Amino acid sequence: MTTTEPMPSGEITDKAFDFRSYANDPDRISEFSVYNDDVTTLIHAVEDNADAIFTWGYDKGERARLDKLYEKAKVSQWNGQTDLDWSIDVDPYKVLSPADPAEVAYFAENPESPLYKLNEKEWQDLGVESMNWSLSQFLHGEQGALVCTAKIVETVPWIDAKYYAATQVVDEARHVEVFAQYLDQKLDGIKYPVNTHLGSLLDDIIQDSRWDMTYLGMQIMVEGLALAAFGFMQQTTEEPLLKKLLRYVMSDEARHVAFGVLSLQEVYQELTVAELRDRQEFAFEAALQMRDRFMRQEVWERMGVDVKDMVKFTLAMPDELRIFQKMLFSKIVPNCKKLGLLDAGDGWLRDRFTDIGVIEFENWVDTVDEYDDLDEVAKDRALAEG
Amino acid sequence: MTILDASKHDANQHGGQPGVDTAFDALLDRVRSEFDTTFTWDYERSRDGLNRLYEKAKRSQWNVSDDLDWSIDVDPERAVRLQAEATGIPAGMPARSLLDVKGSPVASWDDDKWVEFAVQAQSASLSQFLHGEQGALLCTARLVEAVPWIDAKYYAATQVVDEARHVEAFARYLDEKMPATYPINENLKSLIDQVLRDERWDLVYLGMQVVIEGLALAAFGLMLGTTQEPLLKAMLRYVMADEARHVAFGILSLQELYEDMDAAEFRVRQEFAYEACNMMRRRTLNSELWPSFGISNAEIEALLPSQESQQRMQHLLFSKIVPNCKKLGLLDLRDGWLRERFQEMGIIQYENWENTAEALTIGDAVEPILTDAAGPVTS
Repeated sequence: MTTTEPMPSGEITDKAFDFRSYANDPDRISEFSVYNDDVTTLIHAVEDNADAIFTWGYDKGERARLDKLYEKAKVSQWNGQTDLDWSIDVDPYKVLSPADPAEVAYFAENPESPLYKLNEKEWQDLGVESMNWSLSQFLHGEQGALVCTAKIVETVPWIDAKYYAATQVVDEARHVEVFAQYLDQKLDGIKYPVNTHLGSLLDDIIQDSRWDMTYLGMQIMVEGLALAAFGFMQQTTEEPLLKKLLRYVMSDEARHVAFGVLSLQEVYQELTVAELRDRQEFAFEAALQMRDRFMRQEVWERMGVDVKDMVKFTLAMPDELRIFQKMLFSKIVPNCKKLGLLDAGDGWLRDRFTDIGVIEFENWVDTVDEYDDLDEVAKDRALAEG
Repeated sequence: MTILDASKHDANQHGGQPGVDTAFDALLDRVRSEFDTTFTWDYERSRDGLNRLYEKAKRSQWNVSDDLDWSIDVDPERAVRLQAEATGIPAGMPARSLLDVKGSPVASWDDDKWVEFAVQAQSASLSQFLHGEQGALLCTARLVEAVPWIDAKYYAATQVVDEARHVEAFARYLDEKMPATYPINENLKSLIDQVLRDERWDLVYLGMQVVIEGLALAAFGLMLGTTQEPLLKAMLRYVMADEARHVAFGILSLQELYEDMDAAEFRVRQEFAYEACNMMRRRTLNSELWPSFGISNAEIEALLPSQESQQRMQHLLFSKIVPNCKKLGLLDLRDGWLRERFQEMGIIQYENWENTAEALTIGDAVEPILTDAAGPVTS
């Protein structure tokens, strides 16, 4: 199967379609020149047809949990220039998160691995490239979040949600600012354009005129994955500036995901099974795109490694080695469960998450229950005040 | 039926378009939009003016819940009487000038009635501020999406949260301290709708940042200069400090854009500015207010615009817009077409008033207060 055969939607019976093969089709995944066919353009325009909505119901606090989140966001603001110590010198070769040794062995010691012949210097370069690639994608993803959250301000009909989303807009601007500055000042610039899979997901989210899809795509899927990926990098990097930057960004992200869950819980209560199925399919497509983006195709291309071979080899990785890949879904799956998306309509999404091997996270803590604990900004301030 | 998107646009490949819920629609107002969201891959912070404004905005945030003293009791009638006493301007002006007009529908009103009217007029003004702020919230979010410069996206993001704060403040003041909230004025609504429907992002700037916010800045200033009510005074000072940045943001951005704009395109902007000012002028007649006093808007429209005091007040409201249009080169383009229109409107005298981009460096209500509040450290 190739990209010419898209995932069926809606009425088609699931039995006729092999989602597992679809998910793991290297042709589909590695066809990545479609989006970034011209990486020299500086502007990318996406049509947005969503109605802007005024609400005349100004009762603040009608949605108490969103109101609480808004008040929390107001007092959790930080400044990308003054709250981080930009005087710290960074050696790009020492920023690296140490990779899982078993995973490294899989790629380095297997004669069939496209990376088998890499020498020590090339491995180091690969590490530096991968770090730049990761942070570049975080940066572009944050810009996606910036415009999507602005879209939520325009399209959501609840005043409490408009208020909260407004604070998120300024959060996202801050995140773009700090990632861009880190890449520019501490690494060797923004070397990677937006990844195909991430870029096309962002386009899909913006083009969809249903406001709850912006929430699902951005707040639950993109931000949920970001929260997990930031957490992973934050725990493994030794570089103090990046560590603190990520801790602070994560404090904000946790609120954002909680905002998505709290809002969609209300919306989904009123949806029909067919409408929920649309959301399930959207979530699955988004999950695939998010997973596929971590195949780091652009890095392989830059390193002179055959992209498709690398995708195939990565997909063939034994399940027990896929720790990082799976961890990326550790926030998305429990949040989808909390929203009722896993089990709606005979558990269609449960089956898909089983297909891609991430269902094991369903009972992990969801973000509504943990966003307070993740507020590192508040913890630092409490410490400073003694 | 669900509360979801009731837009009439085609659902995309994911299908499933929930229907329209008319009951819910009474509280909602949809503006159909078609525009391009823009990503920029140029992350360099290359526009110094916008950069400074962004850094300033970060430090000038305030919190409606904590920075205003909501325990202050407000007696709206007493506030009106105090204001009349302090300013020497009788309650109900400028509409009160109709007392002297033969056969006017308000000829029999006594002072108490004018006080009652003034309270409602204050509610109506604050209501328009409230709705205008929501319009600003939506328009600024639109700018974040559409503008192609990273520095402008950053700054506009801070403005989104500013506008949310302003909606919050006015909504709370009206809810807790005033007797009524009025619906949005039709002229204000139609200008905001026009801006939101347009696919040219620079018209959002011109309509919202220059005209609507410029007028708001003058109107807030008028209210701040006359009211004696301490909570309202504090609130307006804080809001104005934000608004001054917003107008400056509009000017800095449009100056750059207009530099390279071709003549035909520029001319469209000139005409748009005039149309927008015209709509704003009509909104000063308070059409949402009169029917509740049993007076038709037709009567008011026939009488009030020719009253000198009404004209004076109306003109003052343009004191920020005119100099900013001049600074943008809109006044003198095409042999001074807009200059002539502003002459007809009687507002050209403001062309050399201090403009907002400069004023911003001189006065800012919030920062001195924050500095004061931080105070000298005593142990």
